[in-house]
Amino acid sequence: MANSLENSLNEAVPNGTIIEKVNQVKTDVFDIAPGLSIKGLDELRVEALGKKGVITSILKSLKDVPADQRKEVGAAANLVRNEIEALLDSRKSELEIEELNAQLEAEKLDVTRPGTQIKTGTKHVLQQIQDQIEDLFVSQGYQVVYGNEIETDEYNFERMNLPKDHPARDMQDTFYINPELLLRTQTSAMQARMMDVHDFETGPLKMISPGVVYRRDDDDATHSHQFHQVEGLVVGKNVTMADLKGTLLSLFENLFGKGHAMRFRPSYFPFTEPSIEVDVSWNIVDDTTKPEDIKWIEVLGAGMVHPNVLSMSGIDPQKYSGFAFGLGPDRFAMIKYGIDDIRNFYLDDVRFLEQFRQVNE
Amino acid sequence: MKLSTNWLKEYIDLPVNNLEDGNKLAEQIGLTSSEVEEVSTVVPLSTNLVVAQVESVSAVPESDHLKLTSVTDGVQSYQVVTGAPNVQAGQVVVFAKPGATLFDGKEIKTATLAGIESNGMIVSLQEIGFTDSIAPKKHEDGIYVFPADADVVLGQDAMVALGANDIIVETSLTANRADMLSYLGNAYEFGAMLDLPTKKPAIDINESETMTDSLISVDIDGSIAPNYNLRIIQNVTVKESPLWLQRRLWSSGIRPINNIVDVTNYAMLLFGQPLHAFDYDTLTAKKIRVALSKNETLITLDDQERQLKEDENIVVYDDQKPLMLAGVMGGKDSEVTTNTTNIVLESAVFDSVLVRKAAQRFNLHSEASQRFERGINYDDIISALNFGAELIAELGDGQITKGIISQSVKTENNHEVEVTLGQINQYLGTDLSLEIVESVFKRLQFGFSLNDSTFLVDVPARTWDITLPVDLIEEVIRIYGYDKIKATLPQQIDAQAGLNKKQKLMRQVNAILRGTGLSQAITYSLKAKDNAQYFVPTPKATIELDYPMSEDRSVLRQSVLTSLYEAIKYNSARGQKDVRLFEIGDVFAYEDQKVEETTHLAGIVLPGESLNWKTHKNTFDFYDAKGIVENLFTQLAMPVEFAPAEINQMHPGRTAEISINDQVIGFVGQIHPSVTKADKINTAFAFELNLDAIIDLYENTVDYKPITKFPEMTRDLSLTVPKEVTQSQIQEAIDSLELEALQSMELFDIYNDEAYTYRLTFSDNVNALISENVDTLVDVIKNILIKKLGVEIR
Repeated sequence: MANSLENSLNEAVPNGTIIEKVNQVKTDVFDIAPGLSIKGLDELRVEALGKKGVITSILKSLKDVPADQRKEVGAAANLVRNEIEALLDSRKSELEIEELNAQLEAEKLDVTRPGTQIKTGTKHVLQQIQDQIEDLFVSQGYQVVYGNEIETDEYNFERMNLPKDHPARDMQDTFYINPELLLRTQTSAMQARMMDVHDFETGPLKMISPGVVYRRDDDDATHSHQFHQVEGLVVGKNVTMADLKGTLLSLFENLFGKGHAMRFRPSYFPFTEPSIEVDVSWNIVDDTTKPEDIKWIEVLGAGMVHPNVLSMSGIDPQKYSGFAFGLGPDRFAMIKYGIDDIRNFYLDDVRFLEQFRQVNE
Repeated sequence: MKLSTNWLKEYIDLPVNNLEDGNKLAEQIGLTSSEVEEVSTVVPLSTNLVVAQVESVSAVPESDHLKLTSVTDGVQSYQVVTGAPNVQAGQVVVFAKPGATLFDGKEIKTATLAGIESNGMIVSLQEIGFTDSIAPKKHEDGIYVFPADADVVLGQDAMVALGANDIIVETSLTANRADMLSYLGNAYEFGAMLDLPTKKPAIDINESETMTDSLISVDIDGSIAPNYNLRIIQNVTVKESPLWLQRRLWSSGIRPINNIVDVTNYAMLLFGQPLHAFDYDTLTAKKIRVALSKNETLITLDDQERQLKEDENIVVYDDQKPLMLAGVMGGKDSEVTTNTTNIVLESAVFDSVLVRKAAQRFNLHSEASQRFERGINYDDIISALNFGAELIAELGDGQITKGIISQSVKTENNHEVEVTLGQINQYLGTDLSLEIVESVFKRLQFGFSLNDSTFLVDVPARTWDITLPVDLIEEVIRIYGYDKIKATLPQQIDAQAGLNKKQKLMRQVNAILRGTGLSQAITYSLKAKDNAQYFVPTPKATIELDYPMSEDRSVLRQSVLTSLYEAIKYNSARGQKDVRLFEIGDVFAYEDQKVEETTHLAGIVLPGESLNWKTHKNTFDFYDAKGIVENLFTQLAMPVEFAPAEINQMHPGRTAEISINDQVIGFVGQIHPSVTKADKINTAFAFELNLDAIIDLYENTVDYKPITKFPEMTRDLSLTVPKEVTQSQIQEAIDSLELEALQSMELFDIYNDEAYTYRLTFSDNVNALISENVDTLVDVIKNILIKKLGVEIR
């Protein structure tokens, strides 16, 4: 195609005016362009409009046009030149779109095939509950203490107002290591440890202590020799049973959602006085709910810290008071998700573990 | 305690007439006093049972055990064929009329037995739902026969006659409610709860002229029996108790035996004071002695020979032989039998700790022992004795001798406790008025005086464990109602509030490992002795339970992996492939004879084929396991080093110990093939890290360096590495050059296990890099590798 425009020009209007010549080039370009590829268009552009192209050389002869016509002829010639350029541009972009469309068509994927697997793990459901409880109490200004699973008889029992021959020790059969050491039966053991070291000049002691505890129970669907507890303790000036009630209400709202009723029933723990069991309604309760329609579930034990427990840590029960509560994340999880066998938590079947992916709202 | 509401009504006007009332009462008891186990009738009810009399008994031809009887309900006679061996004319019995439905759904219809029509059935107590634990032994082999003087009439509903429709409320008592182990105590409790008045039983005592102290003497160790009292009742007839008494016992879950034993149980239920009756005539030298046991044997009432040990138990002796395991169970030798005529009746207090130990040691948790363990009401020791003696004399036609033999070192009557209204309201966060608190003490029948707003409360002996102001506060709020406490929150925060470093890092580690595909597991810490030390680089002395429940759970683990390994075995056995777990948990060992508890982090991967079409060709290997660990430390910004190591239960050629600043903090590797093979599981990989050590070494600082303004330059370096040279040697050789411009060095290809290709990245913060200079650095690197390690440059 090289020099085709120039050949055509020489052939068609060998002695034409500038206008005739540029129009001839235009006619030729308009004839050729539709059949060209992008590359051909680019070549044609160079041939027609390039520095050494035909239009450029035609326009060079403008200097031979009489001065009074030169402006008019120049403007007319430029107009034609612009038309040529516009055609080449539009034709090229048409072709580019076509080419892109063809490429996209060729790149089409079955987007319904599964994506690449990025394996991620799950947090144990009991850890989820523990974290949720920790977060709530941290937001209420508590510290979190873990403590050791091997505890002394002194801290596990005696400091909790359970001397060696106390009948309530039957309630929790214990794994002893030797007469002084045992696997803690309750995270309450951390109560006295923290009361011993807390500086009450700085304000109240507010703590929760989550962790693993052990009891001499045969493992079955509802019993486990190893399970979890979260102990809560607040000791300070003017700490009241109403504070305990409000604290537990906020806990249950956090764990079960709003609208559940709560009630206290008398109970007995040697380290609290009064001692209570706390029930939460399984169903949402409002003013229209009939008492007989409320399904109560027992969720934790609590009470006001016994003065003996305070005294044993050198805290004056005349000046300070406190409340304590202990709850079982295992039981919470069983209630919340309808899990019917506590052993699921400790056997770690991945089909069990991997179900608990949800993020707590 | 099983409470007959009919019996309770003698002392308090309980509004209970049916099960619905009973349930309502139980609800209130649950919120005020104690958990309620069950509300029920004595036995599940049967219909169409009447009191009837056997008019005649005759033999059935062609049957050796059936008898033909005529039975009347006072209105009409029924022809009944019965197999009861004890049926006799004149007996008053329980008769199921045709059309009756027994408790278990069995319907009684007219039937033909041995060719004779039988209309209805004479029943045993077992056939109408009485269990052996309450049905009198006397009738255990046949039909029930009402005692001759029973307060029943023919045609009467037999359920009513037997008291079987009595509403029973069974409480499940916590250790502090000794007072609720008696009918009178419950009457006081429910009186306070319902604001109702209570009555006490009348006790008259009629004594003969014979002086008790002329018949018996005592020698009591007051340190183990702080209060001890005896009466003697002479010339009694031992026989079946009247029906009213039997009804009360079986309604309370106690089996009637005879009039003497039944009275001791009756008085115990009423007052909460265990009584014991000895056969006076079996006592040698007519002496009662209470002392600690010697090494000796005693046959208890249940015919068991009990081996007693020196100084362990309280024993009641006569002059020579042991009579009774005091507070727990009587002895066979002095048992009241049908031949007994003279009774020694004991009402005492025995040391609660020793009684508890005896009950535990012999596994004999009796009605008596649980009352001694929880504490006795000192006010009623003598009342119970007099009440019992009088009733024995009445029912056995005997005479009570004159005077009580007592030896008491301790009497514990009312005591005073002071509490102020301010204390009450401050403790509870309430705004109770003086009037409310006064009314609660009145309802509890506690005497008190009020001075300004200070209550001086005269606490009765029956609630002996109320000794502190807070004990009174509990009484006030449980009677007034826990539901009336409002809800507030403690206003101040703890100065140490928040998660500590360890807790924050545990959460962080948890998140990182989940991100690399591991799920958190929680396993048991107690292991069998043989595997408690699996996966432990240097096993230490194990911590063992003193008295384990099973061998499998007898020793505390020294690695978390030994537990996680159980978890993958469990999963594998259940067909689970590709199991990836981690756990953060404690391990335990003796270190210099001291208990050491350390938090570890372990992970385990049992790889399985990925079923994802994009990734299924990738197989998990040692380097994937190592990558999980490396990523963890990269995320924690802690540089770690790996070196070959041999660790128990780990593959000797595919295990690396991990250190930080030359301190070994764990290992990663493949589990020894012989271990996994023995358990029939696939190749598995694992790591175990001392999390406490990592936390100690962790510093939460970021060492920020500005990003260079100049472009980086990279060079690829291909080496042929001799077999004995390790990657870490190459790394060390290059590190030893301390080239400041060398930013990083990635091993990005290994071919044929010997051709390594590294990509070296250079940069300079101060000047633009010049290509020739970088080439010179690469030459320096090449030279040292050739010289030191004998690698070839490719």
